[in-house]
Amino acid sequence: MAKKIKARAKMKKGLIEVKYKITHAMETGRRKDKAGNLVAEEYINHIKISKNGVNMVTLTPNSTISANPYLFFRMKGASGDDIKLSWVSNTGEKNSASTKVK
Amino acid sequence: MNRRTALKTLLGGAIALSGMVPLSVLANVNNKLMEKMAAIDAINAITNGKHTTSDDLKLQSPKLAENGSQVPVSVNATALNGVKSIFIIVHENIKPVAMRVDFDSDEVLAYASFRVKMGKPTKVTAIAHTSSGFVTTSTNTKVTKGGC
Repeated sequence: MAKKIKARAKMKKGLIEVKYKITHAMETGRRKDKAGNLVAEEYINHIKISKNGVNMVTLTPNSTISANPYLFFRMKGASGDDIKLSWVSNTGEKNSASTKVK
Repeated sequence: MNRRTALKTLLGGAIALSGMVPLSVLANVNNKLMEKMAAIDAINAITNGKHTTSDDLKLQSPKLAENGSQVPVSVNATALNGVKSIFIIVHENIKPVAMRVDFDSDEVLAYASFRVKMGKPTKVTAIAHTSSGFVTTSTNTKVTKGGC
């Protein structure tokens, strides 16, 4: 499954509003597939958000976070700043995306 | 997946990430908190048993959630000074700690919003780690259809 990161960073009332939607199943390891077999646990367990290369927020989600995690943050900055998100899953898979503040 | 295999995969992930040392170290520290445990133990492990309640920490979670697989939860700690991190604890979940948010810079507002899975009606607690100790606040959410 393609694991996309949808990002949007916009200036609003003098602050950067960052919104993210990550496509990820966030399997808890307790769900069964159609054949009745347990689906292996697979979830994002580390997310980092940085601005212009400086670390801003570190997230440690558990498997109890909903599928397709949606994140929202506000931070100081100006338009044109470079916001980057990178995540790592418990299986070692990773992905990242950067976006410019509008 | 049992604890042993979970640890093995985590270790495998840590080795794969060996280029990013601080990251995997952090993952190991957090690993214990993210395991199955009682919610009270999790709160005590985070706060060391010392915490105060405050109205300045605002936790928003619906009183009645129709779909337990996507319950929007938001924490607003902007009224508190020096917030280092925020934890969300869903009491009735097998793994109670849903999310840990670390604010690495003062430039980020101490606000977090995301969607959490909830198995059944539960108490939700937010813990904020501030420069002057731990602050908690709780609310209850009823879930009509569990999603865990």
